[in-house]
Amino acid sequence: MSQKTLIEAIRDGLREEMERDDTVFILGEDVGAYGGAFKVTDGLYNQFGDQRVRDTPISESAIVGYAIGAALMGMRPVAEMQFMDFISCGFDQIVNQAATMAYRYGGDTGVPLVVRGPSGGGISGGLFHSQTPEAWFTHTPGLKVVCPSTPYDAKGLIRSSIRDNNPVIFFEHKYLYRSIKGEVPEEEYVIPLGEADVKLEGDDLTIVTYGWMVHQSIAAAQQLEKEDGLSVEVIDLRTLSPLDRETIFESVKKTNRALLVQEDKFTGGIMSDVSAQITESIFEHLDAPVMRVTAPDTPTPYAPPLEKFYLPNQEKIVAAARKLAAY
Amino acid sequence: MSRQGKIIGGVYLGRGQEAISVGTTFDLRNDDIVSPIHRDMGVFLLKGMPMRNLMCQILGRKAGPSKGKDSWSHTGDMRYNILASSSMLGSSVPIACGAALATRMRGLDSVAVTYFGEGSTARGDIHEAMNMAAIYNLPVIFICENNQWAYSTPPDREIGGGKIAKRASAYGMEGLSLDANDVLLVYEKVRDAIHRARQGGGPTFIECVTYRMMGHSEHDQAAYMDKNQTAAWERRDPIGRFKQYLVEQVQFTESEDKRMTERIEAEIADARKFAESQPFPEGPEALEGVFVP
Amino acid sequence: MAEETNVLMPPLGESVVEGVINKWLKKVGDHVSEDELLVEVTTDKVNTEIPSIASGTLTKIFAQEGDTVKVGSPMCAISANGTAASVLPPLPSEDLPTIQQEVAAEKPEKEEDTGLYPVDPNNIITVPPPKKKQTVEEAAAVTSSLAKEKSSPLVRRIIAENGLDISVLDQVTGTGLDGRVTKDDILAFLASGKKVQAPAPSAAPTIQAPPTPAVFANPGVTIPTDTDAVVTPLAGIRKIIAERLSYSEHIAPHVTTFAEVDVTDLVALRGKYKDWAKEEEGVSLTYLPFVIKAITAGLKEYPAINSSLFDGQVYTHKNIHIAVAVSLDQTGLILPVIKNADRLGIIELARAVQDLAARARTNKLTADEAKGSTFTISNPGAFGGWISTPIINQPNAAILNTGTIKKMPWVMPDDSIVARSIMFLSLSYDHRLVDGETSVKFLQFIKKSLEQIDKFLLR
Repeated sequence: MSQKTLIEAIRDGLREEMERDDTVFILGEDVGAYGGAFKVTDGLYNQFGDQRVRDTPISESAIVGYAIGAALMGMRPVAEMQFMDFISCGFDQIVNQAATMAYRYGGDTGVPLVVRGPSGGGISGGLFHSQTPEAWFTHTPGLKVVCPSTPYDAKGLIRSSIRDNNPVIFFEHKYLYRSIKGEVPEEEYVIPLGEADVKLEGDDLTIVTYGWMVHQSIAAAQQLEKEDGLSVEVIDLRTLSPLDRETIFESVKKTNRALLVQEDKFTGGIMSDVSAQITESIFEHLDAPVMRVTAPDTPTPYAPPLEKFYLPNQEKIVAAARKLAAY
Repeated sequence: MSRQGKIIGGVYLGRGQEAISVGTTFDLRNDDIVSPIHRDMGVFLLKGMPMRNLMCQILGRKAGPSKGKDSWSHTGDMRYNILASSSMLGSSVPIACGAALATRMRGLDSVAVTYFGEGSTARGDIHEAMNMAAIYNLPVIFICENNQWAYSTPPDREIGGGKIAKRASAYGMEGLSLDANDVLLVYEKVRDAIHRARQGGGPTFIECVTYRMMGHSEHDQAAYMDKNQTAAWERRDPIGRFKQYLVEQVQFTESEDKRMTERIEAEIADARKFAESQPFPEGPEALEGVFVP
Repeated sequence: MAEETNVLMPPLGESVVEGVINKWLKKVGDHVSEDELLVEVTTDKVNTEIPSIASGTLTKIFAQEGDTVKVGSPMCAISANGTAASVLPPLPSEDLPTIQQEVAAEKPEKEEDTGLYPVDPNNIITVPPPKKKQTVEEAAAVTSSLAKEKSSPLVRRIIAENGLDISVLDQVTGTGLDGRVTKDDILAFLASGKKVQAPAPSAAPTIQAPPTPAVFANPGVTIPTDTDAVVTPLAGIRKIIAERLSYSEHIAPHVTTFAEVDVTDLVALRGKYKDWAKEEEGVSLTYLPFVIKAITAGLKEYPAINSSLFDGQVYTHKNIHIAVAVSLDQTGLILPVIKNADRLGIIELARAVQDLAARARTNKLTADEAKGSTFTISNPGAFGGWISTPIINQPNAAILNTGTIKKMPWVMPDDSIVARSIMFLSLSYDHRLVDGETSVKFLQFIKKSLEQIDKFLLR
């Protein structure tokens, strides 16, 4: 066991998969000698060479397209988007090509690729360095979407994402890259896709969330316990698609109150779906409406006071939880 | 069959462009890769897909390679290294290049032949693909089928700068333009490109100049096409030309022609009969095949 | 044997729904080969020649030049007349490539849904008009509306699971937002063992309904699509009636027994006092009060019929409460109840029936008046019905229908044949509760009472 940051855990996961399976290779902008814009791939170029840690021009469409072609031929490419904001430049290749390949091949041939990169705000990145575009991809059949919140989860999930025979979009929160540390085992382990994790147990209220908001929610839960004597359960989705309905439902059946927290915007985010699924399936277990904490429907603003207003945080989660508890 | 209501949806014939399908695939090995598009049905057959399979695909039957999930040419079969394409013309080109990248990384000398129309070269995906293929020196043969019509748009309103083959040099890539209604010429030039690619000589761009002999699809009246121009190209029909060549060069006889035609028609009739007898997939099967295990 | 094939208008474009016959290239009597061009068709996108899908003789043309034909409709018929369709040369000896093993080559047995576009214009479903506000509520449902507003799905479920009525919320202190009752509140209330006050003043305790039997799954019934149907949801009183009747039919084995009644004397009696009843008593004197009287007497003689089977228990009721069917024009049937009908005289019964019917039709019945019967009577004879097989109004044991009174040739005790007024009675009974002997005797009792009406009334 050792203490690792999120970025170290991801790097270790990439390295160990590349050591284990030589069909795994990385491609992206500045990933080679430079080690990547955020240094996720730092050192891998020296270890594996320029064929397996491959620099590309600024061509997100080609990066993803090439990855698809290589995957069809039996490789396991890991394509890096320098910022997940730029994933929109490769959108057609992801949603129309990669996501539909298996279907067009009659379910016989898969595309084992991973598209990974940094997402999320909190660093004054502005409109194009702070996006959380997960919902475009959870909405697309044929893709799996992952967003870990801890180093332990990140390493286990990047490994299983690489080993999955279908396209996986892997979102890493750039703010968490270096700001959190966690225990990571030395031995090989994977975390299966499609499994949420109860990060904190509680009886009075369930928070369902992912990514950076997991940490904000845990802090909020601790504050609520201390100040209000409220026992809050925090569920980290980890995989956004396919959704782990069982874990969510089990928790909400226990607490009867659900608060869904996402850094993404109010309309069309993943939590809108989770809310619909909860009321559809376990209506008679609800003692209050399902509520959400989200960012507003605006692009992510740049100036610090604007971004602070925009982002959900511990304070907003506590306020919402109190309102929900009192209903 | 389309007019009998047997083919549901769009039908995009490649009549007049057959020399491209034949000339480009004739020398390919099973481990070489192709990514054909809607007018390249011949490529599917020459790469090894049985005619019955292709017919089932066209008629939307469960026995077809996509199991009825998508139509016409939007499917493939990795047993023959045929990559599936989609309606996003141009998007298949980076994918074919990625396949070539994989073979290079494995130390194989397989090549990839990727097909696209002159119209789709307007899309960024092809630029990105060619750019990166040149940087990586990949064994890709870019077959640009310039049939001079992008639906109703002629090349002077589709291609900035005139001749497409000129673009190849901008990428530091070998590029040529040829009369693609001459199957032997296509064969010869592609064979050279394949050979060069296998030796590590990198990608080649071949502009195959031909003519689209009917509308964009069976549903397109194509009143915008000049009937005289079409008639002129009719006289350059690749099959007719090749037959003429065989008659002159090897004394190909009428009875040999008749026998061959009958054999082909029998094969088509068999495939058609077979496919028409096959069931459609059942409704709930729409839920299958989104992921592989 | 000539096999006839219809050539249908094919779909000629993604949004094309019809085509116009431009020119027939073949005429009736011509021989046509498969794939030979048959007819020229025009759509707003395309001018196309359609090839034949079969070989044979063109026997019929259904659409003339200039006619519009909808996609999927026949244009002509071709009769295969013995000559084989295009004879193909045999396949060459070398193996032709075949589909991989998993493909089955047998012909599909059922008609496939090809999901063809475009949409058949004959198959468009009319969107029903928005639901009208219900005018007739289920009279038995008494709820505290405030309580319903304040309760969450969870709280309502807890209440239901404890066999209570939603109105119990009025007794629970709510600590939630705006005084709503939370889960903790209801659980605390239940745990405290506070006596739950009965929601309605009736003396009968609330008894849980037995579990409803499973509804049958549809074994493959479908709706015809060519009937130009107006589609409206089943709602309101019709829905309630539908549920009640299905339930009754399902749980109670029904047997119906009939009796013919010579009501000539009754007709005379009623005729004699009809005007007096109207002028002096203000009631419309029909045959119904007489029948009700006979029923109440019969139920006293045969108390087994005044019973209910409910949740495995047999309730033999001492009191006699008769439900009388009142028709509400076309919207349905309502069953107001005359409590203790055996204590009322003929005129009193007539008055009760008249009053309840009037109030039923104007939606002024109280909750009590619409439930709690021990026997039910209905009169389809009013519309001319003769005999019928009525469905029991649960939880009664039986139901009596009276038929129309008609003059019939009748054999008298002295063997003469005379025109008499005859009315048929139809009694359906629940064979779980009542046996045939009792039911028939009960019905015969009613018959005799009505046939000798003067003696009956004097008793």
